[in-house]
Formats: sequence, C-alpha cells, structure tokens
Amino acid sequence: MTEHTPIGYKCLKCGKIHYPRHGRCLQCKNREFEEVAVPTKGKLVTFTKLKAPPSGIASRSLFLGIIDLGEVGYTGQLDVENIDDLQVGMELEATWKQVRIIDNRAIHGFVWGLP
Amino acid sequence: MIIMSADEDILRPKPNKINPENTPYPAKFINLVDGSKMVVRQITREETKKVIPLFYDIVKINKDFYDLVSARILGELLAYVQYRVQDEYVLLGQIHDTGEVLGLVNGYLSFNDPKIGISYHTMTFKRGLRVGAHLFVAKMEHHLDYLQNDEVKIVAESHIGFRRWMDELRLEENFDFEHPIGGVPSYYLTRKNWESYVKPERCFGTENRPVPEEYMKMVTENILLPKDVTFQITGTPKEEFLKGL
Amino acid sequence: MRDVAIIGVGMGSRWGKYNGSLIEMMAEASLSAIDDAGTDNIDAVFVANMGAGRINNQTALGSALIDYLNLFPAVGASIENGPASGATAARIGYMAITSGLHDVVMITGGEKMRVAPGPVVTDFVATMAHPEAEYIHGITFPSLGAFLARLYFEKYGVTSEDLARIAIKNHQNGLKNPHAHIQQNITMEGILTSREAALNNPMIADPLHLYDMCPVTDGAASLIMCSMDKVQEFSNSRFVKFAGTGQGMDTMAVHEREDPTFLKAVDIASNQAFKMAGLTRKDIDFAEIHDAFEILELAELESAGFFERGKAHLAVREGETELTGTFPVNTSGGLKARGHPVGATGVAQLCELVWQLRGEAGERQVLNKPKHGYAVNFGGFGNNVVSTILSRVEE
Repeated sequence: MTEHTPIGYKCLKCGKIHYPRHGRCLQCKNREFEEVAVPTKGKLVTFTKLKAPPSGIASRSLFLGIIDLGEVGYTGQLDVENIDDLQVGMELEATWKQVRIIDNRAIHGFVWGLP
Repeated sequence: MIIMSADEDILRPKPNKINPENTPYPAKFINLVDGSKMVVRQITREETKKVIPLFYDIVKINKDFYDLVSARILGELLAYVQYRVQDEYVLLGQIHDTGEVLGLVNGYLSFNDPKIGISYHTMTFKRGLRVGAHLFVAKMEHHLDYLQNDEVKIVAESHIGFRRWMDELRLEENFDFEHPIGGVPSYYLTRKNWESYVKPERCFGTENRPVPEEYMKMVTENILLPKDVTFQITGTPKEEFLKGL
Repeated sequence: MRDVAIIGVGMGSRWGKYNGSLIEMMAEASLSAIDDAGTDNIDAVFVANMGAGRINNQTALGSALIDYLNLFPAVGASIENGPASGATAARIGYMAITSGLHDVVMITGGEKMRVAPGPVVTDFVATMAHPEAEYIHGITFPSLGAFLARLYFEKYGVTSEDLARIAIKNHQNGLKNPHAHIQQNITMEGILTSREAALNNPMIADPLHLYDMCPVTDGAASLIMCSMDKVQEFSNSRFVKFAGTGQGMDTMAVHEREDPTFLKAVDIASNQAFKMAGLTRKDIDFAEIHDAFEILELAELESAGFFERGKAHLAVREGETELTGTFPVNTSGGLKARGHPVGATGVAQLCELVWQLRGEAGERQVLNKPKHGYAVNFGGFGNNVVSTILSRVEE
C-alpha cells in the first residue's frame, strides 16, 4: 500500500479532475494527466459517527464524511467533538494529519474540521 | 427458631455494621428486543436452591468459559444457601409472562470493608438479547444504590466479559486489589463513574418500578429453567454437543 | 442460444456458526442440491467465495470441493466478486451452459466468517473499499451504509422507524425460514422506542443501529443448473427457468459518483436482466434484495425500478413489501435474518426464488403461485451488482 497523498489528476485532454488516481480518464479514457492540488475547502455531503473504528485508529469513535470539493470529492475523517457539530452542507477545511496506523506505518491524509 | 450449634454459629457470616439489613434490591423490568419484559429481582435462598440444578449441565460446556464460570457460580450458590459468604446476594432475570430464567448475577460485600462491593459472576442462558449487559448493570445498581457501597471490584474470566465490562463500561484499573476470583488484574467501578456514565447511560428499567403484581406472581411461582440450556448457549443440542467433546 | 434451468437447490443445515470446515459446510449444501436435483452428473463446479484465502487460509476452493465430494471428472474454479460472488458464479454457470461447453453446472457459494473476532471480519470486508481514497481513512462498510442512510434521511424523509420496520419484517420472515441464522422476533419498542433500546440496539454508525445491519454468519448454498434441452434426462420435473441475468458497474470510491443515492450498477444490472427475460417490473411477484444494511433494501428497490426514487419507504409503511403484501420482499428473511456469509448470499437468494416458484417455501410461501422472482446481489458498495430473474415454467 502506497502512502496516501491527496493529489488530484487533471486529464490533459478533457480537463476532468480525478481523485483518486485512475489509469484512464473517467470521461474520455485519455491516459495523460497532470498533478493538481486537491482543494482544502469544501462542503459536507454526508457523515457518520462510527463506534468501534477499525484497527490502527486509537479513538473510541471516529467521525467520517464525504466532502464535496467542487470538481472532486474526498472521503475522510472529520475533526469534531460531537455529531451535533455536523450538518449536511456545512463548510469544512482540511488539515494534513496522521489518520491511521497500518502495518506499523503511520498513514497521513486530510482531516476535515471547522474553518 | 432454629437452634444452631456453636460451630455453625462461628462458620456463618455476621451482619455487617454499615448496612446490616443488606437493603434488598427492588425488582424492576427491562424491555428486550423481542418484545418480552425481563423482570430483574433478588431471589431468596429457597429460590436459589431451585436454580442450582441448572448449572449441572452448564459445567460441561467448554465454550466461552461457560464451564469455568458455571462451576464457580455453582460453588457460590451452594455457599449462599448454606450461609458461607459475607452478605451474598443473587439477582435473577426472568421473562415476565413465563418465568423463564434468562440470566443470573451475584456478588457479596467485603468482610473487612462493607463499603466495598465484590462482583462475583454474570451468566446468561439465552444469547442475542443483551441480557448480560442489562443484568450486569443491575448488579452495579444494587451495590451502589442499595447496598451503599462506594465501589465495586470486578474481574472477568471470559473475553466476552472483559470486552463488555472493562471496555464498554469504561471501568478503571485497580490492579493492586486481590479479587477472590483469581490472580488476574482487577478493575473497579467507582461511584463517580457510576453517577456520571454508567447509571445515566447504561442502567435501564429503573422507571419500571414497582413491577406489576401479575408479573411478580408469574416469576415467583414459575422459576422456569431454560429447556435445553446447552442448545441455547452453544447452538448445538446437548447430546450432539457432548459427543463432540 | 439454449435456455438454462435450475434443477436443484439446497442450503445444508441452518446458517449461523458452523463447527466443521469451510469445505465440509459447502459440501453439505452441495449434497442437498444434488439430492434435490436427483443427479450428480455434473460437468463443472463454480465455487463462490470472497475471503477464504484471507480468513480461512484456503484457496482454490473449486478444486477442493470437487476432490472432497468426488465429483470427478467435473472441472471447476473459484469465483471471487466480493459479496456479489454468488450471483456472479451463477451468471458464469449460465454462460458455460449457453456456450455449449457444459450441460450441467453446480454453483456452490460459501463463507465461514465466524472464525475471526468482529473487528477482523469488519476489516476483511473493508478491503473492498478503495485502498487509497477510503480504506486508509478508516472507512468500513457500516460507515458507507451510514453515509447512504443519512442522505436518504435528509433527501427523502426516511426515518429510523422506517429502517426498523424493514428489520422487523425481515426478522418475521426469518422466523419462518428453517435455514435462517437469526430466528428471533424483534419489536419496535424493543429496538427503537423504549429507553432500553439504546442498549438493546446501540448506534453503530450514526444513524445506523445494530439492527439496521446484517449479522456475521457462516453459511453455504448450492444450486444445479442444466441446459433446458437436457432437463428431460433427469427425473426431476420441478425446474425453474434462469430467465435473466444482468451485471452493472459503478466507480469504486463512492465520492466519485454523481448521485450517491442512486445505485447506478443496480439500474444497469436490472435493465439487462429484464431485457433478457422479456419481462417488466410489473411481472415480478416477489424479490430477494441485498439488505446488508436495511437502507439498501429501499435504495436497491428504487434503483432497480420497482418504486419511484425516494418512495420505497412509503410502500414499506403501507406493508406492501411484507409476506402478505402486494410485493413481498426478502421472504427468506434477507441478509438481515438469513445472514450474510458473503460468498453464499447470491446463491441463497436464488435458492429462495426457486423454493417460492416451486411452491415449496412452507410457512413463508408467497400466495397465488408466483411466476417470476427477482434477486439483486450487491458487490462492493454498489460498484459491482448482479441481478437475476427466475421464472416458473408453465406445466
């Protein structure tokens, strides 16, 4: 497993931005992309508070969500204290953090919190 | 009045000084997933004698520590009916309209310090209804709200028990305490944890008091032992299960 | 192209926790299907399984099953397509027969999941998620189910009561299915409206509770498929027609889908199956829906075209999907009550369709002699879906 880096892949032919990476464009099947930054601001599409998170996550519960970043989406952890702090459509901002330990390796990713 | 021999008088526990009457546990009932109501109540020594034979079968179940735990419970119940443990009590969970016994919890008070409750065991005879989770908390309720204890000392033999109690109830480590059940590190439920978390979030059925008379009549008149307890616990009928041993 | 029939089905002993090995469990189901068909003259065996290599330390299950049951000279292979492995294997069986390569094919699905603690099983299932975009963040399948449920709650006014209604219905059906893992009555009070419901039915992935999800189950199911022009060679006349199969795909990462409440793969798979069968939604008398989460029963029924989008829960409220309703759904108890041994589920769904179409479903028999049954077997979180239609052959 490669370490996750939140990089978007913009199709050099049709301009569609992908996250995660694909070998061929989801729109035009072109194979060439340029790396673009994944936006760090977005809107919450849906979310959950997961009891008993999987191994490699130390906390008792984990907030997770899908964030709409405009041209791409992001699935990731949410940095809040309480489920009542979350609302569909709210603005969130990303911070680069450790998200999990897998096979004794620290994995980093975007964690989304209140701006 | 029963005349006791001098020996017997020495061998029997004496009332503790703090709560000599051992405030009895007031019965309540809890709604279970299947729509039945589980009456939770303290049983007498005479009633305990009726429950004891149930354990003759369970000691043979070498699964999830049922054999070890039931052998110990059997000893504890025999000790209770024959007055050999300080301030022992037994709580039973029974279905309100049949009297079927779903589970049992027991414990006693420290001889040295009756403000310390000591949890013995929790056993369920029907799985998948969260009977154990409800009964264990009822036991904590008995210690902290009725027996006037400040804390309850707890250990687990089974993995299921460990996950349920230590983890889910956020019990604190009390590794210095030598719990009578074994040499493993013990945990304890403090009054603070009881009042801030376990009682408000995990203790149910407290509003279901007093238990309607017809429920009480049913469960006291019918201590119905589960039909094939081996099947209830293991999912395999007794004969078949014993064959596999 | 020749037609294909299912001439025998079986599920072995009751699902739940199996004490023997994975192969023994699959063999038991296979033998019950062989006995039902009245023949062991099998040309090929396709075994549906998702994770034996990981959780049971065994691979090449097709070879193992043929060896264990002495089905030589039958040939075989394992088919892995996540939780849609079962219906995928049946689809491959269909291809094998219609191509003329084989005449009689056995499909056996099996999964022995209760060998590992819950968190290990959850992690095993989560390996289907996108490795970089989902898995590493701690995404599990219950969290994907919760994402969908929250969208449904917000968009269509679906409530926790609606999900509980589906669970109660499926438990009721499971009580009538001797193969079902969970045979327990549940009530709205016990799981949702009483105060103690908070402990009886805890929140696992908000807004999903324990009873909004399927259990972890060991189980196997098997069926024997045969070329329609050969069925006369076997004495068994209780065959049903394998009328339609369809398969659809979607993006792996849920966040790449345009509308995460619409299960595009279910739509594609269903349209294909209906086209092949030459039937419309109205022709279907009952359905087996892949309710790994109760919210999926609603979303799949809508995406498959049986109800308008955002309306299936209203039909549930009216009792339409109950056993005695106008369109019974998950008469077997579904994944919720029958259980969800991932590789076995798609095969077990087809077993249920066959029993219903043959009028042999006992206490849970759909009334008025059903003619056409539909099943959807949902892989990944909807990125790989197989739909199947089976039809009763007129006497």
